[in-house]
Amino acid sequence: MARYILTRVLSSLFVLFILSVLVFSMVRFIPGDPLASFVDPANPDPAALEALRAKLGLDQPWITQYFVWLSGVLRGDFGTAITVPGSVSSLLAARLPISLTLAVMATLFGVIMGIPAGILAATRWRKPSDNIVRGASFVLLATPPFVLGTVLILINSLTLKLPLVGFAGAAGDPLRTIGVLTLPALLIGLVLAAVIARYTRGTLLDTLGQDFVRTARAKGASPGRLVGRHALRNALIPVMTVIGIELAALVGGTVVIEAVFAIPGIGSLLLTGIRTSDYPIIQATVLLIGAVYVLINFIVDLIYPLIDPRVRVHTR
Amino acid sequence: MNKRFLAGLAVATTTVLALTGCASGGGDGAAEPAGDPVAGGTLTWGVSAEPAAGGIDPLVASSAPAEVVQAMAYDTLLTRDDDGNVQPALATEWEQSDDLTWVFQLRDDVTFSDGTPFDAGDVVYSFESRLDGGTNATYLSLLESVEATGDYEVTFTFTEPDGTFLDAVSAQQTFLIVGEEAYGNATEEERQTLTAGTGAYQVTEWNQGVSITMTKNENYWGDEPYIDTIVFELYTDENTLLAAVQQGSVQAAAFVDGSLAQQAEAVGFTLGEAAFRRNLAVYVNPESGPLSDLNVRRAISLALDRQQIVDTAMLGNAGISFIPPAGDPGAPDPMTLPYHERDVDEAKRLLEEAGQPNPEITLSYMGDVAAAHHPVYEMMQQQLAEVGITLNLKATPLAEISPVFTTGESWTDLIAIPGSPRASGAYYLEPVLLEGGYYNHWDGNPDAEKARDLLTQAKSATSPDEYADLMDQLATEAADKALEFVPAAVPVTFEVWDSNKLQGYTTDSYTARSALDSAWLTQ
Amino acid sequence: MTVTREIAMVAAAGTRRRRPKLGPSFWSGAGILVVILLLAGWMSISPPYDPLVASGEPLAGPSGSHLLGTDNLGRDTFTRLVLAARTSLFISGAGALLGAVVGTTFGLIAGYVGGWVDAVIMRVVDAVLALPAILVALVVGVVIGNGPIPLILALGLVFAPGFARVMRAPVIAMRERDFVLAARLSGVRGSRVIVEHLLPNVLTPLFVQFASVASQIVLIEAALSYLGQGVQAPEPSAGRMISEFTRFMQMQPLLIILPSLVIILLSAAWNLLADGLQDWLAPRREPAFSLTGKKKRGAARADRTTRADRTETRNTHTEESQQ
Repeated sequence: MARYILTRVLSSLFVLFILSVLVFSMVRFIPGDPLASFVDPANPDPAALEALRAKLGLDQPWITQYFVWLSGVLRGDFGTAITVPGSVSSLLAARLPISLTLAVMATLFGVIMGIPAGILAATRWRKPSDNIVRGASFVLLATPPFVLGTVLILINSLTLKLPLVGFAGAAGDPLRTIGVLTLPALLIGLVLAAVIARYTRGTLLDTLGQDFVRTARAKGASPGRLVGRHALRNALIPVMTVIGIELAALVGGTVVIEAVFAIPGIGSLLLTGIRTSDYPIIQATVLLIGAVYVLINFIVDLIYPLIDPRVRVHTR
Repeated sequence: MNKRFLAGLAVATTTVLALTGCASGGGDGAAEPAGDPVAGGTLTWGVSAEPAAGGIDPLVASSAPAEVVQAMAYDTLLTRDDDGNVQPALATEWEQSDDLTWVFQLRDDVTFSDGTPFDAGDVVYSFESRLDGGTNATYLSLLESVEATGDYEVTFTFTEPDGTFLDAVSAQQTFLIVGEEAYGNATEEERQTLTAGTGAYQVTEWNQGVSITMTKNENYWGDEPYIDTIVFELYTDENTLLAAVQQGSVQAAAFVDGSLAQQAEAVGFTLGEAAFRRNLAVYVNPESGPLSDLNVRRAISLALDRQQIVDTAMLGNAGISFIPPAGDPGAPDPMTLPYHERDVDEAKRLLEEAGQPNPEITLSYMGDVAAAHHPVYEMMQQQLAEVGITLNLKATPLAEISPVFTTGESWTDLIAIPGSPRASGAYYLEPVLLEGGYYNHWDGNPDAEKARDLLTQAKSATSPDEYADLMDQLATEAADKALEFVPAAVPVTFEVWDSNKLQGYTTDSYTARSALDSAWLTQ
Repeated sequence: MTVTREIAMVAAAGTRRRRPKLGPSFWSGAGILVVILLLAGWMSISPPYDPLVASGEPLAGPSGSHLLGTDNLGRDTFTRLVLAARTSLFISGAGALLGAVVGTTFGLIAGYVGGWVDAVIMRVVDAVLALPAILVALVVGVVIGNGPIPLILALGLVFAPGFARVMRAPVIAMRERDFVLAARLSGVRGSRVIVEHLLPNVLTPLFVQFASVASQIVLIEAALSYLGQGVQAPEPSAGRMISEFTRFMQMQPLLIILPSLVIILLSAAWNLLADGLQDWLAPRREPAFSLTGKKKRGAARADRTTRADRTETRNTHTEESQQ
């Protein structure tokens, strides 16, 4: 077991290392000059630009830049953003809690809506309720969320006038922050619910088709007890891992929703960075998102073999 | 969420909108009678962009959102009113003692927001720092020295007569004055995120990605402002900003997209009359391809139906313009310039004469920003097709276009880069015609010779009248040789505000929101 | 895919069995795709209107001459929508295909060769999968460029790791099988073993993954185009149409409703296809207590709980990482 943990740790670190190299080099291939935002297109000044480039260390060879950056990262210093005042670390520190809150809220909504729907669909296999859940899942999974968001915001602004957007008043006020994040979390949660519902339905159906369930049924156990006590426990285990991974994926993957709802999260920071080719921002943000994902994966990897005896580590 | 549901939703939406429209009595924008100004209150103003590189450091930052904030927090020596007349600001008198010398008398009752007094030394410091790697230094290319010749007197000496200086020094966002102590002692981060100027409002907090808060300057040298605090809230998606306007979360907003600003009018907001100071400039690379032929270029200009572009592509939220932009003081009437009146037959004839009846030309433009401008280029494609010119549109991300103005990278045929207001008309064509300019592909091209001469003369004009006359000739010459195309000009932003809440405010033509200094909120 | 289905698919690999007929999922999915294909073909060859030229009043509603109305410049919406669907179909199909080819190659190699080759490939796969698909597509897209072909390249690269993961599992399970050992013993080269013996037997998860990935690509391409980074003008794209026409929402809501429907339809079609394929190729065993009251024939062969690999529930980019 200890060896397994050790291999997982080393493996995760190696993945993070590859990630850092990937991110760093990818970013350097992005066309566009991070110094472009310093330039007034109608009034370019070559000499000032070159001086700025040297000052920021952007004229060094890539290897040098990489090691300078990496050593900073290991100390917790992600460098200074080029197109935004302030250090990248402080930018990330301000935005990460918001993205995390959004991700957690969306996951909660998804679980609350998705698992019951999945159970309903599985226990009513091929009946109308199953088809409704499956149909709704299909459509939700295929819906681009940004449309729904904008439409809802605009309709609300003319009718109900609920304070759905506007982060300014919510800074430092956790209750209002949650209020402002509710609608976007709901929208993401809807799609997430569709995924979870499909998964839950799938695993539950598979479990209900197993021999042990047949046997228990043949011995006279009632369907409700079977589903509730035996089948569900087995079925929900893989669903938990999916939920964990979805949560991780949401932290950086909500770029468009953040743009529509004016949420200052990690995704919108990355988008700004990409638009202006701001290397420090892009590198730090992508690395952070990847690190969160690797971390959650690592935790899942540790827990999963413990709770699901059917799965064995494949020894090589 | 299937088709039928969405159709029903659409019907419901339209019904609701129709009903709401009836209920609110339509937006004619007429405010109630003003009443007396009242002090106090917080104004929430929605914007769609934040200051970018350089933050709000007046000597470093040049982004449009930064310039607006800086114009409120800092002052210039002189200013202009909406009629285009030069007015005093930090300087009370100004005089051009000879062709090469300007002398300014300064106010003696000004302090910076941190309490340090303002004097001639601060002016010298500001200009010298600017020359030493700051922004807008190109306006000072002919400056030899700036000296404090008294506690409240400054003298500027030039190597040659500079016809653009008065314009530059009276532009509201160009030569902002900072304090030698206040600015000199601040850290780089402080300079970029806070302000310490002489203006009516100072930035006291910048929550990156969320909002910028400006508070009334207690030490302001002018009349005390009424509004206590102004908060600029960021809504990057302008549709969301429209929603905020419609539900009253903000009392005022600035839109890049004119059609959204018009929709704000529909809920009772007042739409300010903004000057068209942003040319949607299309620069030309005549070094190769069909554009090297003068007649082809003229044909392009003749093929453009500028009025249709304004009316249809921009839904009326633009103006016909050339160089300088239509909203600049002293700008020529573009329709009087050569080749600006649409003439399809003449265009075709010129193409025949050039031996290229069906040329193929590429137009690159920024594909991922300013979606409001894209219909302009698409309409250009249609209009040029009617005379036989195939215009290939290349929507390119900003990141790919920016090397053109950061490292002088070249482009094929045409490139659309929206301009920004310059302090003086000569500077619109400077990067196009003069040596070292990033948009200059005219070196050695005889078509540009006369224009270049005119520009150089204008920059060294000895009197404002001479300058104006030379600029008119320059515009005519540039149009005649089709050195640049301007399909339309837009305002930097469209401003809307709720005149029942925000009183005494109008848009100023320089996007400096100077009227906020004297506006008030109904309580 | 769940553990049990995974095990079932692995077990099903290489076996012959009686399959039930293709179900309604498959046919509805395939049907929609075929219809779009035909419409796109018609539009490409003889469109009723030039998609780039104004042919009517701006912002008009549906009428006899313009089936779905016109956009802000007076261009026919129907023509542009079908062309947008064509672009989306092309990008999703080609992108998934590219991902399949690249990913399967690496997955097969990793699974068959094993050892440190396997470890390195899988770690790189892990690294790429650690990032939300839309971000990788965004960054890669900015590097490679915009437009359909670079977009296909970028998206293919994004989803290749998922294919590698999925294709590796059955290979590992199968490489100890008798027929593989027999081939190797008689001297068949490794690469031939992979191509001729292993590949045909792992087509099941391949097809399913292909359709599933294609449905995700539709959404990612829409999101990228919405952000301005995907398909550029003047090529019609549903995502870009939504971002450009939201400002007209209160004047002509059709302009954003219709492109949204196109996206939903296309993505759902691929999903239905994937689901239908999965049900057909590795059918689910009927639940113990039948709640439908009818017995279904020809269910599966036995679920053999073989010594399966670890759960690969996260072998693909998940659907919401494109918000």
